[in-house]
Amino acid sequence: MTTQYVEFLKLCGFEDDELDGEGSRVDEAFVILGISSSDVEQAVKRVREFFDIELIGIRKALGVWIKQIADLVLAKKEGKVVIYSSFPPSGVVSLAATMARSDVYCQAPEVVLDIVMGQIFDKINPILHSGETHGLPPGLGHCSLNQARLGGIAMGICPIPDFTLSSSFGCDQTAKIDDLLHEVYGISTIFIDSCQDSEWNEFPTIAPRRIEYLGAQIRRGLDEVQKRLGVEISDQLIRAVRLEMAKLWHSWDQLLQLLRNDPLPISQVDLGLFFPMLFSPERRVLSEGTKLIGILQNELKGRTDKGIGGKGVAEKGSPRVLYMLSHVTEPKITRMLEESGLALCVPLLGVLSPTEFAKGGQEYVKLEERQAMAELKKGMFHSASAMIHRCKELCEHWKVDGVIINYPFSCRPYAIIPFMVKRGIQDELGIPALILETDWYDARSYTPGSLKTRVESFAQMLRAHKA
Amino acid sequence: MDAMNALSSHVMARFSELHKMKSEGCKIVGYIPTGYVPEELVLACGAVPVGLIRGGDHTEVELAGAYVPRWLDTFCRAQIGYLLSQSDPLYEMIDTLVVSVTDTNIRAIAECCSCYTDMPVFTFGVPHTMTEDGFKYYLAGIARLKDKLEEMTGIEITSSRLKESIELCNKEKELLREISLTRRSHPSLLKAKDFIGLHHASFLVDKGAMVGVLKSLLKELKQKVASPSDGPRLLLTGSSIAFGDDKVLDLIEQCAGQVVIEEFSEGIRPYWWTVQPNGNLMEALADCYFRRRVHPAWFRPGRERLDFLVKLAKDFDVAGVIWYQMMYRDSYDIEAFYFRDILQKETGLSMLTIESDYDPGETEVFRNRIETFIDSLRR
Repeated sequence: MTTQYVEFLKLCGFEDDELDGEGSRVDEAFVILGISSSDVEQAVKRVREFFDIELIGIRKALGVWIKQIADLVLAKKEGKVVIYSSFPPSGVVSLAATMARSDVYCQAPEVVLDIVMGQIFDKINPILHSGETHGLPPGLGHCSLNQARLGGIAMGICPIPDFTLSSSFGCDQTAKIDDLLHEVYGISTIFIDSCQDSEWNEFPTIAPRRIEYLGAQIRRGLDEVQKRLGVEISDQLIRAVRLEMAKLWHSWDQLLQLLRNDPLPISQVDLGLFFPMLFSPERRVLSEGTKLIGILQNELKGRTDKGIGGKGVAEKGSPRVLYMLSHVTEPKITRMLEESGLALCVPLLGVLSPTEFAKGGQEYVKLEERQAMAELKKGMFHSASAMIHRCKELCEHWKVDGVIINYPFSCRPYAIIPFMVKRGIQDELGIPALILETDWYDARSYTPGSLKTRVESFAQMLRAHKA
Repeated sequence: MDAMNALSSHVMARFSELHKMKSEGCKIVGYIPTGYVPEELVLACGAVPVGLIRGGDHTEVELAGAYVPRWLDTFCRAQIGYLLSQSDPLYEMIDTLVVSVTDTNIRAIAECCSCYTDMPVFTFGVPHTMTEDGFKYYLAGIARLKDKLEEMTGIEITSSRLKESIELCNKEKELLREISLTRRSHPSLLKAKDFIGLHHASFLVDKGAMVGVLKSLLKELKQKVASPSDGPRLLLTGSSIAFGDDKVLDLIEQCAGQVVIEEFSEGIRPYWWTVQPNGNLMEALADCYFRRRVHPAWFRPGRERLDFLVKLAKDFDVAGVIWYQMMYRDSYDIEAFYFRDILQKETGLSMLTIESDYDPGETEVFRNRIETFIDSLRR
């Protein structure tokens, strides 16, 4: 074994052959990241405390992230063409770039940093601080996901990419960071644009102009990537990429159906390892992700057959709650929600909605337009009214008792919707909703302690309501 | 100056005029003045365009807190406050709200109005990148606006009507440009507050009357002898400069600085470009409003605007730049970080960055900072 962190890596699901093959890479990556042996000891404790390590699927998920951090920090050193996509990316463009050439590394570095340096090692704060001092100062509502991205590059942890793929169809901040990266570090960007100008309550219908424009932008992105990589990105490759993404999401959706059981067979702390994988799929995720989800699904099926709940989940009979997303860097926060007696069964952003499953759009023949339609059907890139629709749809589909609108304060698109969503859920469906201002990627200000009182009061109310 | 007095009279009388016109069946079309809504279309169907540009008062920002969290741009929250509280009779008077969706903050205005009121809201998107598809998208957007306006007023926007309104709006922009250029003189012939006041008035006052005032003002300026001033010349730039948001302008003047040129996304009409009405008039509008203009900070990539600011700084011989933006307007905030170095490198000039939430408590803090900055320029 060539790694000095055997216990830790085995805890993270590494098999013996992986320890031999990847162990030394992990060690090298840890040196670059400033991770010491005492940090790893702490990480072992942290993983044991927060994650359901009885589940092989979870241990292997942790392992995928550890491998991803090595892939990230060593990418340039290993001779890769490095492309950074922003989060959430246009998955088809970033994956097509990855699959077009074997020496391409394409990922959203901030996501990898958040999971590994945040959730596993609890060392995200210095990276956030670096982001703050290099262009995104505190007190101005800057996105901490972008702070991680910028901070990682500024610290030299993340190699300077060859170019970035900016999914500027989601938000403005990310695209502006790409501008900053260009001005300060000389990194060029391919922007993929969209306009969120749909009519109110148009969704789930989507105006053809939106599909056509986003489709054209996706095509332009693909063409530009093709040009820069000097390799063809054929329709056949795009179809293959879309199929792989569909398989991944389909297997994920199958697993999530097990969350209809009571008690929940798994905590959202554990499932939170998967959402970023699905939203920012990359070569490693494609090769290991579907199998990994299958392993986990079998394990969870075993639990649901026996009525066994997952680590940290609320007891049987607890109010079932829709919430937006698990905390990406600090598992304590999601754990706090569960310990308040809430069964977090549906993450708004981590599950496929009935609208996404619905047939339609056969008139769009171009692959890029079909992909555009898939992106817009998610709701979050469509409009605020689409997000309200999505929320209501999922509440009914999953028969929840309550909703926690734990919106990220520094995300401008999500800053528009909390009061609107609450109004839609409470007034139209009669389901209680709590607005919880938080930060999905930075726990320095929005700590479990600061949020706990409100959550506990809400949980108490829901229990009484349910009784 | 007589022209400015005349303009004040027009502004004072305008609300009653609009009231009367509305009672006679005229449609009042309110819009957020991002510089992408072609007033020409509104005028061509006999409706009245009114740019919604009030700001400066924290009260309305607080009112918006019932509808959106505080983490959106201050100017946009102020518009949400005005529109949803109906505290300003002008905002209450509009028959429809047109929003050219530029960035997420502006989008919030449209979505809040749609969600919480029965006000008809028409949106069309402004692409963030300069591509042929983007141009076509914008063109299709203003074409939809044209259809909507025709439906609303029952009046067809014919080529001749559109050409006439293009010529009128072009005249307004040309005069604003000529007036602006007079400020290249040392000292400047017109205070920034007055020049910005012209823009704010132009969003409200009858277009023909506005052109008349601008012509008179230009005539007066050509005859004017400016009072001597040794205050440093400044470029003022940022996200929004609203009607009622005088704090920074007043402070600069009190500290003996003179703003000689401005550049803002909302509040200053993009007067450097006029419509070239040759051939297809709708394409001519899109060409002026989208293709040829320099876009605000949310555009990607945003380097063209920064080069434009450097050019303005040189052309107007400024001694420094004040970057004045609203809180949480993320694109501007991020851009301010690296523009400082670009400005220094290309001009040797220094820059002061100020963020406002329209909070009255900011005044003395801003005074201190502006005073220090202007003093440093003097040295």
